[in-house]
Amino acid sequence: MSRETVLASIKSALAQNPSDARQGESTLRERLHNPRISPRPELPADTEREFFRRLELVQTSIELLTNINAVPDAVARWRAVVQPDGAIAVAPSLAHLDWSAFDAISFDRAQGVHAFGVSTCIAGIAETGGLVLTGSADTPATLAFLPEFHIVVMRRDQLVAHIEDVWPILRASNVPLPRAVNINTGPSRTADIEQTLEIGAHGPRRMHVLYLQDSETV
Amino acid sequence: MQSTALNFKRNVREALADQQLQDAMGFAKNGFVAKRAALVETVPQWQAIRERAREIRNHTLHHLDFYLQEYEKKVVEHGGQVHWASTVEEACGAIEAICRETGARKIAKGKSMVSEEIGLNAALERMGCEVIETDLGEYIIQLAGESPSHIIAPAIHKTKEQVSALFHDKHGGDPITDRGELVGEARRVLREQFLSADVGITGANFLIAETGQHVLVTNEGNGDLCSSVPKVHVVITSIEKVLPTLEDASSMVRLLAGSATGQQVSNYTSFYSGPRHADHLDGPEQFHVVLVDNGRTQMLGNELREMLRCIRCGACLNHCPVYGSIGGHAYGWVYPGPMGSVITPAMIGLENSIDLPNACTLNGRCAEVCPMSIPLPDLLRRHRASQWRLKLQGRRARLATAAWSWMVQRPGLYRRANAFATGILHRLGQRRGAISKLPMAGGWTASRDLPAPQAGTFMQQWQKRGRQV
Repeated sequence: MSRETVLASIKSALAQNPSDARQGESTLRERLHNPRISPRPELPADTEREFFRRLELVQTSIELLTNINAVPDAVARWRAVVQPDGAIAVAPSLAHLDWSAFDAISFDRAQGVHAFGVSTCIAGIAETGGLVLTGSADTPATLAFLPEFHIVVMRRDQLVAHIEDVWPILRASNVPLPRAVNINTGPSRTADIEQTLEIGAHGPRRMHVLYLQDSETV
Repeated sequence: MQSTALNFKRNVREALADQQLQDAMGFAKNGFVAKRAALVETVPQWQAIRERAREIRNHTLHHLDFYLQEYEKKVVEHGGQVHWASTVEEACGAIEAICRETGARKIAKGKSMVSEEIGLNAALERMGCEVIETDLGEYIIQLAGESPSHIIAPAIHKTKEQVSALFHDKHGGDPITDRGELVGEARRVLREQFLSADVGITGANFLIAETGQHVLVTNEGNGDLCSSVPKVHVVITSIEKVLPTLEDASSMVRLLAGSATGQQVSNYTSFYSGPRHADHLDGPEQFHVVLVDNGRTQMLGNELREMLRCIRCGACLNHCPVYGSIGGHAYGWVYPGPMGSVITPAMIGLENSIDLPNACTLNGRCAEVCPMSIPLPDLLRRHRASQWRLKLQGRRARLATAAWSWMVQRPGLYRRANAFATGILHRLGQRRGAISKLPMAGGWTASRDLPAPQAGTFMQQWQKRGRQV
C-alpha cells in the first residue's frame, strides 16, 4: 500500500543520519498541545487605530455603528452607493434583525444570482487589516467569495492584534472546528497580467466593514 | 509534463531572441524585487522570523512520519479521506478514481504546482473530463496551451497584447485591450465554471498536524470558490508541506506573502478542514487529500534535504539574473529558476537535466532572499559534484576540469602558468583595457568583453611589495 511505502521511505531516509537524535512521541505531542509563538512584527499600542489604518491600506472601507440594530440601515446605505446588479444574501447569524426595508433578501449561502453578501466574523486583525470569517451553519463561506460586494459586521471586542491571537478563539469555542476559516484581507485582486494590480479578480470587488462600538452579541 | 531540460541551450537561445518574452520579463524584473524589499524594510523582526521558520521546518522534516500521521488522523476525524501516493501514476490514479466514482465531467481547478508536477490535467482530460484552470495566470496559459513560467505568476511571460489576442480568439466578441476589462472578462467566463463544476481541485500551501486543516493562500479568491462551491473537493499536495501547529503556520504565512509579492499577508489566507457538516448551507459533500511523495523521501535522505524547506514563494526566481534573462520555460520542466535547478534533477534525473545545475552564476542572491534560508548555490554545487562523479558532463568539460584540478594541486606550477597567461592577456588588452575575442572562449566573448588584467598576478605584486600591504 502506498501509505506504508511512503511512511517506510520517510523512516529509512531519516535513519540515514542517525547522529541526529529524534524526539520521542510524548515530547512531540507536548509541542502540539502547547504551541509556541514565534517572533512577529511589533504593533503600535493603539491597535484599533492600526486596524483602521490597515483596512484603508487594503482598500476596505469602514463605517462605525453604535450597535447591531443599526446594521440593516447601514447595509441599505452602502447598497445604494455600490448599486449591485443582483440579489442580496445575508448570513443567518443576522436574520433576527429588522430587514423589512429589503424586498428580496435571503438568509442562506450565496449563489450565482447574488451580487451582494453580508457576513459576520469572529475577529479582525490589527496587524494586517484581515477579517476572520468562519464557514459554519450560521455563516456560509460562499457569502464572502461569490458576490461582487461584501459587507462584514464586526464588534469592537473582536479586534485582536496578531494573526496568532485568532487561534485561542478557535480552540476555545465549544463548537467543532469550522470547516472554513477564511482570513480575508481586502477585496480580491490579481497582478497576473503584466504584474499590474487589478482589483476584483474572482471574489468581491469591494469590501466594507460595519464596526459595532457596543460589544453586544451578534 | 514532457521535459525539454535536455534542450536547455537551444531553449535559452530562443528565449533571448524572443522580443515579446524580453518585454514581458522587463515588467516583471523590478516589480517583485522592489515590493519585497519595501516590505522587509518595514519588519525589523524579519530575520528573527526567518530564523525561527527554518527551525520549524527542520524540526517537522526530522519528524515527518509523526506529523503526517497526526495530520491524517485529524482529516479522518473531520470526515475527509487521505490518499498516499509514492509516484506520479499513483497520484493521478487516486484523483482519476475520485472523479470516476463521483461521475465528474467538469473540474474547476485552483493553482497547484504539484498538479503540474504529476501532469494531472492531461490525465483527467484523457479520461474525458473538462479541466478549467481558474487562477487568472493559469487560465491564460491554459488557453495558450502552455505551461507556467513562474511558480506564483504563471503567465509572467505574456504581454497584455498577447492576453488580449488570446481572449479575443477563445471568447469571441470585440477585442479588449484594457487590463481591467481583461480581468473582468475572465471573471465573467470563469464564474460560470465555478457554479457548474462537479469537482474542485486545489493545492495546499501548508498542512497543519494539530488540526487537520490545510492552508490555501491566494489573492484572487479562486481557490476558495473551488473549495466551497463544487460538491467534491480534492486537495493535491505533497508530504513536506506539513507543519505542527497554527502558530507555526502563522510565521510561514507572513514569510510567504512577504517574499512572494511584498504583501503583509495575501488577500485570502484560508484554513479548510474536511467536508461540510450536516447543518452547513455550503461546502463540499466529499473531501479528499492526495499526499504525493514523487522523490521527496529520497531528498529527505540525501544531501538535498534542505530543499524540502521550500515554501514555493518564488523569491529565488525573482532575484536570479539567469531567470530574469531567459524566463521560466527555458528550464524545460515544471520548476524553473534556482529552486527548479535543484528540484528538477532530483525528480526527473540528473542525466535528464544536465545543464540546469550549471545555469547559475553562483552570485548567491537567491540564498540571501530565501525565507527558508535554503543554501541554493551550495545545493547546485552538490549537483555539479554528482555530475562529475557520474561522468555526466561532456568530454571537453571533463578534460578541462581534470586539467584545472591537476594544476591547482601544484601551486608552483599554477602560479607560473597564471603569471604567463596574465602577461599575455595584459599585452593583448593593453590598448583598450579589454579583450573582445579570445581563442577557445569565443562563446564567452561573443556578448561581452573580458577586462584585461593589470600588470602581474596577485602573487607577483605581493612579492614585489615585500609581502606587505
